[in-house]
Order: sequence, then C-alpha cells, then structure tokens
Amino acid sequence: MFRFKNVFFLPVILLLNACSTIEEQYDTETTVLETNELSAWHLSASEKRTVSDNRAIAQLLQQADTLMSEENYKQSADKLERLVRIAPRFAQAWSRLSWIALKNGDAKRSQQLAQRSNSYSRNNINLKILNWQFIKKAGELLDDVNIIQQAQKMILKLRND
Amino acid sequence: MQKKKRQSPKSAKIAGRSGKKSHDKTKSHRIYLKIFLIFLVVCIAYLAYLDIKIIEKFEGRIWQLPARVYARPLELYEGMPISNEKLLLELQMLNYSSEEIAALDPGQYFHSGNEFNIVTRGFEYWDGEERSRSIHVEISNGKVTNLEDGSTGELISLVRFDPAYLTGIFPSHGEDRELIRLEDVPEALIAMLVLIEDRRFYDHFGVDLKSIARAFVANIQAGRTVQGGSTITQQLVKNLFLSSRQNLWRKANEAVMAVLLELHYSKKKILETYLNEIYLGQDQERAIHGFGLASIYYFAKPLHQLTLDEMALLVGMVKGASYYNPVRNPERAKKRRDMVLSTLVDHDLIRYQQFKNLSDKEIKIARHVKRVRYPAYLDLVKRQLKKTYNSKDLKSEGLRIFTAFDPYVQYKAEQAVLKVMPQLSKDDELQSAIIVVAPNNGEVMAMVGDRQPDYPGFNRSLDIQRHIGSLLKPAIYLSALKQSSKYTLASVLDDSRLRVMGRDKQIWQPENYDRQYHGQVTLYEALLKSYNIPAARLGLDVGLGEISKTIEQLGNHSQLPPYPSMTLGAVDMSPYDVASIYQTFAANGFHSPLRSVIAVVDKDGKALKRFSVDVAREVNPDVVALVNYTMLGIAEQGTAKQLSRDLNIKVAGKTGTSDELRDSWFAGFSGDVVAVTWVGYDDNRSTGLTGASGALRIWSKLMRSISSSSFEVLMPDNISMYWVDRKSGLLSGKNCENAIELPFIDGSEPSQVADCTEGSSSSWFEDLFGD
Repeated sequence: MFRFKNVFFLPVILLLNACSTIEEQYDTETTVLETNELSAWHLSASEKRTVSDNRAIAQLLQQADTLMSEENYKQSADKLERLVRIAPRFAQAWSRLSWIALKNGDAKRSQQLAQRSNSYSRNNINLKILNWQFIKKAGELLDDVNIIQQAQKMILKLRND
Repeated sequence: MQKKKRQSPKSAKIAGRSGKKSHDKTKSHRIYLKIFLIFLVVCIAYLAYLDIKIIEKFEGRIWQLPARVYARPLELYEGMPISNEKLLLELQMLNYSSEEIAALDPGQYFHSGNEFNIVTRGFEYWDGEERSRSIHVEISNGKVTNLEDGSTGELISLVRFDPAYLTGIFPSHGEDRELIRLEDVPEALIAMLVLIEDRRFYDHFGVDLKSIARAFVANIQAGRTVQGGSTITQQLVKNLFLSSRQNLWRKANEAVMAVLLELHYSKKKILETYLNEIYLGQDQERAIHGFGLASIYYFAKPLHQLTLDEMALLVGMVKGASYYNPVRNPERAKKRRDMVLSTLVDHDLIRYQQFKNLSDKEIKIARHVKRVRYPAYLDLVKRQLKKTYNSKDLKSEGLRIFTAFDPYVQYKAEQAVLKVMPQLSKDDELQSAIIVVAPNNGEVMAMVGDRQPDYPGFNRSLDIQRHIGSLLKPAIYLSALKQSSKYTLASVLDDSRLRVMGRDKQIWQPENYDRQYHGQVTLYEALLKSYNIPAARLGLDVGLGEISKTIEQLGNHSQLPPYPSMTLGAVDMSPYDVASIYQTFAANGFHSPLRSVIAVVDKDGKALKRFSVDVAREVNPDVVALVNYTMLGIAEQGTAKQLSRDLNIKVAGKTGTSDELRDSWFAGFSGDVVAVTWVGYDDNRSTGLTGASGALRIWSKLMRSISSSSFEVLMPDNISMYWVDRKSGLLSGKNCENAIELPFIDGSEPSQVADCTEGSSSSWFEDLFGD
C-alpha cells in the first residue's frame, strides 16, 4: 500500500501551509521544499498575492491550514468548504480539498477536486503542477496507468512552459 | 390421674357462645389482617409500580426532541455583494429587533443610511462556536465596504450570523423544547419561579401540607377553587405522568409520586426538569415547552439574555399559558407580569423604583409570521434526510439539521411567482414552480412548488414529470460536439422537411415553432434560434443512445424513452431534474449532486454527518465551453434575448416549450445562481405560453433581484476564437457581413474562407490574421 507519511505527507503539509506564512518565512520554507518535487515556494508566493486581496479568504485559508497541520482534516475541510461558498472560484481551496480527499484515501474525489482547481487556476502554473501531482497520486491509488501517464505528461508540459 | 371438671349445660352453653364469639372475633381479626395484608401488598406493589414508572422516565430519555431545521447562515465580509435592502431583510428574517438609538444586546440592530450597528447572537455550528459580537457594517454601491468591531473599531475579516430557524420535525404530540441546564438559568428567574409557584420548594418533601391547608381554607371561604396547593414537584408529576383531570384519585397519585420523586432525585434535578417540561404556549401545531424555547419563541433570545420584566412575563404564564398569552392577551399578560414583579418587591428582591420602571415597560414580543413557511423546500429536506435517518430518530433525537436554504433568495423567488403569475394569466389554476441552485456545489438555495408558495400541497418542483421541450437541446448539441472532428459550432445543418418512420411504423415529422424551413444553418444558429428540425436531424445522426449517455453524464440518471421525438424534448422531467443538468453546464462541466442538507449534529452539538461538496466531471470541459458560449448567445440574441434588456449581468440559458404550449420552461444561470422556472396546468392543457412569454419572465424577475455576478465561460487553453460566416460556417473577417466570432477546439476550426461580401475600412484578411 502507498505510504503517504514517508513520501508525500510532510512536503505537502509544508507546501499547503506555506500559503499563509509571512514573507520572511519563505526563505526557510524554500530550503525545505526545493528538495522535493513540488517546488512549493512558487506556489506560496503566488498564493500570498491572492490571499491578501480578501481578508475573509485569508482568514479561512489560514485556519484551514492550521487545522491541516494538526491533522484535523475534517475541520479543515469544513473551513475550505465555507471558503468556496464565499469564493467559488478560489483555486487554492479546491486544491487543498483535493489533498484532504487524497489523505482520506478518496482518490476518485481527489482527482475530481484537483481538476476543479485546475479549471480555476488560469495562469497559476505552479498550482496546476501541484494539482496534477495530486491527480498522479490518485492514479497510483486507483492503479490507473492512464491517469498516471496523463498526469506525468501534463506535469512535464507545464514545467517546460 | 386428672379429674375432669364437669360443666353444667348452661355454663357449657355460655362457654360455647363465648368460645364461638372469641373464635368469630379471631376469625374476623384474621380476615381483617388478611384484608389489610392484601391491601398492604397491593399498596406496596402499586408504590413499586409508580416508583419504577418514575425511575424509568427519569433514568431514560424524558422527552422526545424534534429535529430542528436551520437555514444557511448569513456571512458578512468586506467586498461581499449585498444591498441595504437585502441586509435589512435578512435581519428581519432572523428576528433581530430594530433599535432607535443603539444596538446593545444580541439580536438587535441600529440602522442609519448605509451604516448598520448589529449585535449578533452566538451560535454553536457543527464546525465550531460563533460567539456573539458587536459589529459595524457599511454598505456602498451594493458591497460591504467596511466591517469592523463595534466596540474596538478593529477590522473584522468575516462574521457569521446565527441561522434562521425554519421548522421542527415534530413527534405526533407536537411538543417542542430547547433543553437547558440549571446552571445556565439566571438565578433571578429561578428565584422568581420558586417565589410564585412554590415558596417552600426547598423545605418540603414533595408535598407541602401547609400549602394544601392554606389552599383548602381559601377555597372553602371563596366557595370555589381560587388557590392551588400543588408544589413544583407535584406539577411536574402531573405534567409528566398524569392526566389533567381533577379528581381525588389523580390528586392522591400525584402526591404519592411527588414524594417518591423527591426520595430519588435532588431538588436541583427536579427543578431543572420542571424548567424544561412546563408548557408555555402554542405556535400553530407546535407546543412550546420549557423556558429555554419560550425565551427564544417570545423574545428571540436565549434565556440568559432575558431582562427581569421578560422573566416575570414567562413566570406569570406558568399559571395559564393560553390565558396569559402575551400575543393574544397582551393586557392580561401585562397585569400578570406586573403582579409577579410586585411580589418581588414584597419579598425585597427588587426595590419599588425598579418595579415602577419595569412595570412601565410595554410587552415587546418577537415578530411571528403565522403561516406554513417554505413547504416545498422543507419537503426536499425531509426527503433527503429520510435517505439517512429513520422517521423516529428525526422526531425524537433532537437532531439539528443545517441546510443550504437561503431565506433572501426564497423570498425573491416567492415574490417573482406572486407578481408575474397574475400578469401571465388571470386563471388561478395556472401553476408555477421554481428551483434555485448554487452552481459550484449543487446546494439548493430555494424552491417554490405552487403559485401560492405557502400552500403545502403538491410539490411541483420535485413531483411533476413534464415534457421539457427545447431544454434538452443543449444536451443534444453537446453530444454532437463531442465528435469535434465531425461537428463544430460552425457546422452546417439542414433545416428542411424531415420525415422519420418510427419502430411502430408511425411517421414522425417535426416542425419548427415558426412553421418555416430555414435552409442551411450553422449549428450555433440552430441552437440560438432553437430550430427543431436541425436539432432532430443532429440528434438522430448522433444517436438516441448517445444523447441518453450525455444526459446521464450531465447528472440525470432516469431512463429516457428512445424515440425520435426525444430529440425535441419529449422527455418527462421535473424542475429538480432539469436543475441537476443545468448545474453541470453552469459549473463548466463539473456535476455536483443537488443537496439541501449540509450537516447534521446531535442534541449535544456533535457533528453526526457532513454532506461534503462532491464534484464529478464526466463531460469534456472543452465541449461544455462551446455549448455554454452558445447559451450566452441565446440570452443576448436568441430566443431569450429579452434578458439582455432586463438584466445588467451576462447570463446563459435555454427556453423550453412543449407540444401545444402545455409547458413553459426556462433554465439558465449567471455566475452565482442556476435557476429553473416552469409554468403549466396540472391537467396538462395548453397554457398559450412559450418558454419566452411565460417561464422566462419569472426567471428574469427573479434573477434581477438575486444575482450580481455575470456568467463567464471558462475557456480551456486549447480553445481559440475565430470569425466565421454566420450562414456558411466558413472562416470570415470581423467586418464582413454576417460575421460572428465562435470558439473552436484547436484543430477543429474551418479551413476554408468565405467570400466577404461587405467591405469595411479594414481588410477582413487583416482582421482574421492580424497585422
């Protein structure tokens, strides 16, 4: 069985947490995250810009991330769902919901939520890459070679863009 | 040897009599003893029976608690689109009271111009507690421009109000109560209650002999019952175990059970149970029990926020909740309240001046709307709950049900029906239904099932099954556009006579609504104008099975009839079914199953079930984007073009009219709302209305008041826009006659170029390929 804790859990938690961190922290985060395949610092920088535009979104996102770091996924999902009611096209929230679904072993749902996030990601290449990572992991859980291959292809394409 | 004493016959007779007497006496003593023993055993058995009855009730669940159903909470944040009118309406629906000087207590607001000062009520949600807070809100140009703490002036990110209470799902006896713990009850209320109802409550053992004697004397003197001697414990016993009939047997039982109750349970437990049990009024079929619910019902605030005069009113009602009802008999209720307050003065619990101030206050009761509210929506909630919970649990476990119901949207939907229907027809039998859904998560926001929205009868939003006419066309075109190598929006379709022989050898010959043939038309134009013949040709070419599959992918799983007439919408669906399909279009291809319930918590506030947002994308978003683009066109220049005049936002949608104008439909969406409206007769006769002349007018009225966000087609990266000739579907230039701009999946755009018949200042070639 796929072991999240060893391969996936830590970097993703750090990555998703990075959204609500203050600017000074990015450097420290970068050191940790550059070593993994998800290149979190790009995402955190781009998200910070979005987040600061709306205090309600920023607050809910921060609360969701805190709960996620405490492994309280249910409550974190509650905050994120509240967030998407306020801002239905806020791609980062859908992305986090995707990750929580993945963490709960609901690969099919995770894949759909990541696609939903991608549909709102527009030019946020890093978020798209992250979502395709989730889709790839979901494909691994589902043992679906087609999904894995498609995700790999998209990740490569987005990185080259 | 012992000598036997001889008795004379007389003495023997006397002795015999006396022996018999003594024998009889002993015998009768024995009988009395036996009777006494039997009586004792019966008494002990009866006492044991009563004892068990009391213990069973008190150790188990004393009350059946109805499920309580709540609306979605209003959330305020800076930048949120909202008008003064909407915020005022929301506050009124939440029973917040408008204050003339300042809002000081929870549930109050002060409004001046574009500014509001509000003190919210706290509430325990499934995801945590929302505490009461004072806020200052400024609204400008339809948005919240400032949101700050009313006390400190600090900026606030987000405020969540308490949700509006919609209804309860009651047990057959209709009892409703809000359970409270004794420690949460104000001491003043307890003191007042004990003083008025049972002064020696803490001293007696369940029955107060002094009180009984005093009441007996008073009643004898008056010649009628003027005073009761029942203690709080006896009243509780009567309410919980006995009938209200006045007879000696019942009174004896009451006294015995009261003593037993006091033997087993503490005064605290008895008082707490009494506070929750006592009957304090009636709200239609709902019986208001306990001080917790009475406080919310009469004053729209929790018990701990009551003022002394409000407490006195409730305590006064214990004597006769109907007789002293402040809604029906305000004068009588005020007199009783003042009597309670004067008793406080008599016992030095308040000063005379305080009494004067309190008794000068008018009784101010929370607004109550006497009507059956939202029957269609609550019908949906109950149906969805029954999939998860059995009826008994819903009526007894005290569940709290949080729904997506939006009171403001519901109000506007009802207003749209009430105002537009009389304009459509004077015939009261013409019916209507509306369903409003949030596009991005499938939450049902509002529902109307009858032209009289409060009428709790046939729920047409859920239960009618009617031909949907052209509402099906977007699904047919979607099926065709999936084959991007064969069909694009610029593909040319043949609009000429069509005759099809069905399996039953019957000839089916569709006609356009205008009874005309339009020759060669592009796919885009055919959907824009809702031509029937090209749609039928396209549907038959794509295949009825393929169309059924597409409809299923869009979110409708009912079995559809595989007849050619299906291509013209000879398919039975309810407004709910249609909304399910159009939600998928509105969410750019992501289907979310429609849901009304968001979360269920138990009576202690523990979350039992969350109905999380679910998304599924079964249809290609590229193709959905093409159809959505066309549906935007329908609202701008197609069969629903009046919307472009009525609304100042961009919307997409489709009109639907069934054969012989029996059903008038409109299904459409903006950026934040999907709505489906239907107009028709229950007996299926002709309405004389098309989709545009009937249902669309209701839809337009509704959207004007509830939506502020334009629909935007999410164009995937692999879709590009090209100018094409409206007639031939070939590439054209921006300034050429009949040129329209259409989206194409990369590689599917036309390769041939049409003649540009109309010259313009710039070359069409330049427009097409740039400088």
